[in-house]
Amino acid sequence: MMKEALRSLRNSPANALFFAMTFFLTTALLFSYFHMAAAVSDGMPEVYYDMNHLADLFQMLEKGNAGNLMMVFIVIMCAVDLVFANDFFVKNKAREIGVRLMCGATYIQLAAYLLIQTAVLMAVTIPLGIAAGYSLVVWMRSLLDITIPLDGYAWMEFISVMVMIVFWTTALNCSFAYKSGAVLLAGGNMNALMRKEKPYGLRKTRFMEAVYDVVGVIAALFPLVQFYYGGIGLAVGMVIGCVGLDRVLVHIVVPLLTRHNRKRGTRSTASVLRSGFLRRDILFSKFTVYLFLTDILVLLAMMTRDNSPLEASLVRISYVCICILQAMTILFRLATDISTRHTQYRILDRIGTDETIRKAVPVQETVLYGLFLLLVVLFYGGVASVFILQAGSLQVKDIIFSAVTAVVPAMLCLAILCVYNRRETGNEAVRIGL
Amino acid sequence: MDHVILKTKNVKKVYNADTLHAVTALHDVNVEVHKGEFLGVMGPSGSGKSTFINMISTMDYPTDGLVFINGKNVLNMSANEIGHFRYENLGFIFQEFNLLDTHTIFENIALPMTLAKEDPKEIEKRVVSAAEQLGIGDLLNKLPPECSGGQRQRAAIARALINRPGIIVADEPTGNLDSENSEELMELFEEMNRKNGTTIVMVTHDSYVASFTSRLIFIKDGTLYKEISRGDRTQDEYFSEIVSVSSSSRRRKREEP
Repeated sequence: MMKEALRSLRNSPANALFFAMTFFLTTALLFSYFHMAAAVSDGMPEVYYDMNHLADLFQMLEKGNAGNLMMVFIVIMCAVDLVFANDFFVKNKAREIGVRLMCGATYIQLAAYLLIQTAVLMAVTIPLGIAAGYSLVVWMRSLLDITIPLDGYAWMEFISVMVMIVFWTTALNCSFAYKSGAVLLAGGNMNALMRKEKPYGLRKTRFMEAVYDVVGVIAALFPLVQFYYGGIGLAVGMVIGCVGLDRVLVHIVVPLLTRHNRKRGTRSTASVLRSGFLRRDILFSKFTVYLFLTDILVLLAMMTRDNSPLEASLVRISYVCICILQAMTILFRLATDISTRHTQYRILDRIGTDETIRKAVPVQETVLYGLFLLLVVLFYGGVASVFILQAGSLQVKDIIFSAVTAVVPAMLCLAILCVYNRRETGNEAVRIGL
Repeated sequence: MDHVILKTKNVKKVYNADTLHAVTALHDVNVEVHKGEFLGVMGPSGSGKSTFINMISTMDYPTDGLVFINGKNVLNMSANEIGHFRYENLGFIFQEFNLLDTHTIFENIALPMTLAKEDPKEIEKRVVSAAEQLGIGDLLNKLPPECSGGQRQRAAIARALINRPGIIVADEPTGNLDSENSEELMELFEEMNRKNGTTIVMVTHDSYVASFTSRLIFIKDGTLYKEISRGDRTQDEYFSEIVSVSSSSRRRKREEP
């Protein structure tokens, strides 16, 4: 089993590398975060104490220094990022897991097969992540000329959260093993099974749909209104905003793309294909986009607080790491879908689509998705920044730093995705499977 | 009926040629398909049916021999010329429907027309008309996974017919359908062939489905084993002969030392 698991890792090096990078960044972020937070006078010891009394959690958040608030937020975000990284990592193993299941492998054997691979990656990346986190702490010590102790509390917090991360990844692997078995037994693919019409909900009339759309637009703008009034309860506001944005994307933007394709998109094959794929990308990656926006706005709001120099550095480091992690999450999410798209390109080859179109469409699709992401991020980030500048909470250079940090990793990841998309679809399209 | 629309001359296909594992899938196959004909291709698994259909539909190249469609030798065409040739002359229907799951039924049906650079208004008109004729008019904005197998196969048929191709090539088109949808599909094929004069070449291993054709060739071990025509016979009489030929070919295989 060990040998086979290692062979499986070697067979999909890109997936393994990206999964490993997520672990590495998560470890580095958590290590540096907990050690720097421990240096904040009323920070880490209090967090550690309060975490042993979960009933006081809300009181802890109310007290609200940057360390307390961000600890919960960052740990949740790292865990969510790992969900998407895991999905990308195990997606192309579905077939081999299916074959193993058909040959009589038990659920435990399947889970162990995946866990061995994850354990190998963790064994390599966690020490590297600790080393990177330690370097960051040392650098911050010299930069801020302050004492950041590598003390026991910080180590305990870091280790307990890493143990939680390991358990979380284990649970994800086990659930994938279970899901693969269930899908295989159901004789279909999970997407098709899950895309059935939902039997609940109010009766759909045109008027009600219009009302929902208007409410959706208002809800989508809600977090920005909160920024205008000083960002009170922004985390809750972001939940409302994401629900609204979901309505806007699914019921306004995507139908608009479909309508465009039907009326004018048919002018060229490339146009039909790229807007169809773009529609799919938006729907498939929408939750990662919501998370990305939540991260940016919540951390932007944290920057506007009256932070000590160390707290401010802590927020900025978290902002940089989270932006990189979220950009990678979007990359994983889209790459997961693209990895199954060679079938679509084979169909296009069969019906006579020439090679020029098949090679151009993945690039055009990724560029359009990049523009979509840029538009959404710059709209939310831009409007929030204007309000922040008006209130005088941050300076222009801080806003530029935030914008560059949010946009550059995302665009780099999309550039990687573009290459991946073209390789997956363009080269394998011609006569594959014949 | 006299015009030969498709012709294969001594077509031979060897997989893994020049290796120790060379397998000859087709041996010197000669077939002529006339305009307006409904030709069936039958044979056991591994007999070379799919290889044959890949050769005549320009999906794959023969190792030796020639393939002519409308008098043109398809082997002399470049990859892009073959692409143009496909959407202008051939319509494909496959067992797995081969629809783009990421695109709506409308977009799937419209694709061959966009490849032919037709006017968007004409595309809209013709796609809606084809979809309505096939009973899927209200599904145009849905994605294929939201439709049933029968509806998806109808969408695949609409796409195959939208450019009014000379030949429809169908590879096990009823393979993923239940008996009711299979029968409906074959009646549709029969109607297309009788009323519109559409030439159809269909691979199947189902004797009942094969009884809808006007002529049937049996492939066994890569060679043409037998050929029968329906002529003036009823479908039941034709079906009985198909079953008889089909089972005799299997019996002989068992009796061989």
